[in-house]
Amino acid sequence: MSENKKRVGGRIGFVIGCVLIYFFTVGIILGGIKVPATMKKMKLNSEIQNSKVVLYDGPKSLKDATEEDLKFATEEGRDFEIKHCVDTKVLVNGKESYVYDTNVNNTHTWVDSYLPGQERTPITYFDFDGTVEIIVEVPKTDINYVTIRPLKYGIKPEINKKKHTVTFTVDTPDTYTVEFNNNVKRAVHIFANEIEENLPDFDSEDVLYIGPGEWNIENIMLEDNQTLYISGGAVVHGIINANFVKNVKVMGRGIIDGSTFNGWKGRMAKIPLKFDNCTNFSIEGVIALNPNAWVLQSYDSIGGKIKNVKIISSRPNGDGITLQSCNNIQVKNCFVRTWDDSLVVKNYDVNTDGISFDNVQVWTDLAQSMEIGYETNKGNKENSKISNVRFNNITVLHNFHKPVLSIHNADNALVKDISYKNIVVEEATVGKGDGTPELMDIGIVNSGNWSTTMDRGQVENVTIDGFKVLYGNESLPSKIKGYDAEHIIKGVHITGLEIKGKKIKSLEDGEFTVDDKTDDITIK
Amino acid sequence: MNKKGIIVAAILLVLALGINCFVAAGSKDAKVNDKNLQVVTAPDQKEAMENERFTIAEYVPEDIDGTNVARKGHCEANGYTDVYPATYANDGTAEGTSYWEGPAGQEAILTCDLKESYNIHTIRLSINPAAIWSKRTQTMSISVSDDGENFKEIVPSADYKFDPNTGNTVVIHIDEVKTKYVRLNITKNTGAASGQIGEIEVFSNDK
Repeated sequence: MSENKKRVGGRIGFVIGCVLIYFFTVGIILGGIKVPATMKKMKLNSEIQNSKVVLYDGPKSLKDATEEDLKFATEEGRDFEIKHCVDTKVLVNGKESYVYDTNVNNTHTWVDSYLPGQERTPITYFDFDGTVEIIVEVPKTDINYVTIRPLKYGIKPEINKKKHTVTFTVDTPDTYTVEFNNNVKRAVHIFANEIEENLPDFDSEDVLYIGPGEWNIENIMLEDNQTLYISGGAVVHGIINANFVKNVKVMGRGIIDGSTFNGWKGRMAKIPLKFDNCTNFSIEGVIALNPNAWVLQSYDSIGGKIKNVKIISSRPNGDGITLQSCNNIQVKNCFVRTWDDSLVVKNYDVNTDGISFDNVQVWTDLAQSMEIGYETNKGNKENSKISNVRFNNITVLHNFHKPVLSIHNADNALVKDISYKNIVVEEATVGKGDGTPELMDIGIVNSGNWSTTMDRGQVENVTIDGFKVLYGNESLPSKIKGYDAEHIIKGVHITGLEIKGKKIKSLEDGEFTVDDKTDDITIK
Repeated sequence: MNKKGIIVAAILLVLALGINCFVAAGSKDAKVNDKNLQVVTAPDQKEAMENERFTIAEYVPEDIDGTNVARKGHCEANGYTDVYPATYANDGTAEGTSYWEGPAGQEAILTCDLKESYNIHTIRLSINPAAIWSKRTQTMSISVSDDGENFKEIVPSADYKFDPNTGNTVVIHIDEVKTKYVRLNITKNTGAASGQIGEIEVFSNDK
């Protein structure tokens, strides 16, 4: 044997060498397995490092929510004011985002006293561009399971049970709702906005500026060509109205809060955003919480844009966005959680035409998610009509009480050319409390509560193209019912209906009840 | 182990260390660049405050001599909207829902029967003083009559600005005239679909 082929250390050296080679090889394999994930993590870290974030401190005057403040009680049973949330922390790229505790209503039964029980839930908001890492920390909650809605993002969070944290990343401005242990209570609503652009000229006389902080401003009445800017970090206790004006705007990131007002109880509604008889109005970016009745109303207006508005109502008659006798109104990229109908179209006066709801998240604790009616001719006009109403890309996170999709023509109007496209219902537990079990309800009715006219109307040309229910009741029936031989529902065409994974190809499969006062009802 | 074996082991060692160091380094959480972070701070406040931009100076209404003789009269109109009839126009208050709103889409005509003839010198018109009753301009003329049928115009059509910052009230001084009836012809209202009067007050110095 030559020198250079002589084994070092003899047989023992050979064995040690083999063991070392084995361990090194195993180390390379184990490390190698982690390389793709590491590279992905590094890419994500790079994106996070390069992302831009704007955080807004909340008013220093808001009181911390105590355990007592979080208990189920009527508005007369405890302090109802908006609070600083201290049992839930939200970090955005490692920095704390201020969390508010706002009132919500997790009950599903109408209360004649106008005093349903209320609870509170955390909300936070920030602006970003890029990718951000969000950590939600709930020290008092044992986290076993987490759902992050909307489900379309497929977010699989990292749960740290010891630290009571949930970690996930987002790269799309939207509202994200974190629910713990399959329970909607204390769900955290995170309003992740895009960074503000096209800010108004704050030196202009037509721009009204409200900075960060807590402000009592009972009424703000906008005049022609005025822009109201409510900065992030502002909480305004008051209402904003525009009446018979044109070219008015509300923008910013701040909160319009009604928690200092007593509930309206059928008498004095203080509507946070009320735009009546306006031409070309715009509402963008703001948050409306704790209204004493309904939330965003426009009546008899022409030309409106409602964008990235976030709404949570908890008191009776807390309709979300209600458009009455309006023309050419666009509602886009909004979040609407309500204790009454979420998205509503009615006729109170002139005919409605050209209404679109696009990319709206809805959470309906009471009543219907997408309602046309009941009042379709409250103004008792001749030839009343509601036409060209479109609901596109609507995600219903929860719908607990009454139908998700409803047309209730309770007057003598013609309701025509109504379309629904790409509707996703993440959870349809319809019929809770004193609700009704239908998923969809299209009808011509005579309502003791809501009908104005003696005569009845018609419904024509309704298209539903893409309607998926992901989870829900075992049975989810629907109904389509006319009134009599002259007042019928003509032309309802449904395609792409899927209920809990089952493609529905017949009315029978879809548990539809269709009466003989209808014509041309198809499903495929 | 021969030299080749040692070389192989050394290469594997370097690779194993390299890969695992890479994995360890790459698995750390991101360090956020503070240059990309903006925090909008809140002012020092111990409680909710009034906002100067929206504070309204207290309005002191003008004193008017004489007695409001419309209070004991009776108001009628050529129509009304919803639940706002003419009788609310002289019931002593302009607040709440106590106002007259004329028929939408047409001239709104309010006639106040004073029940007796008076020498009148001033007319004060009010709508709800709440800020939610935003600024509006009503265009109207004023006429008077002794018999309720033949009216004579004493104030030609003009614009009157109702502003919640000034009580949503307008005061119209007129040359003294003796009359039993006072009529408003409202042809335009920039704040509603018809004329609106929360309260009409007609002042006379007659004893």
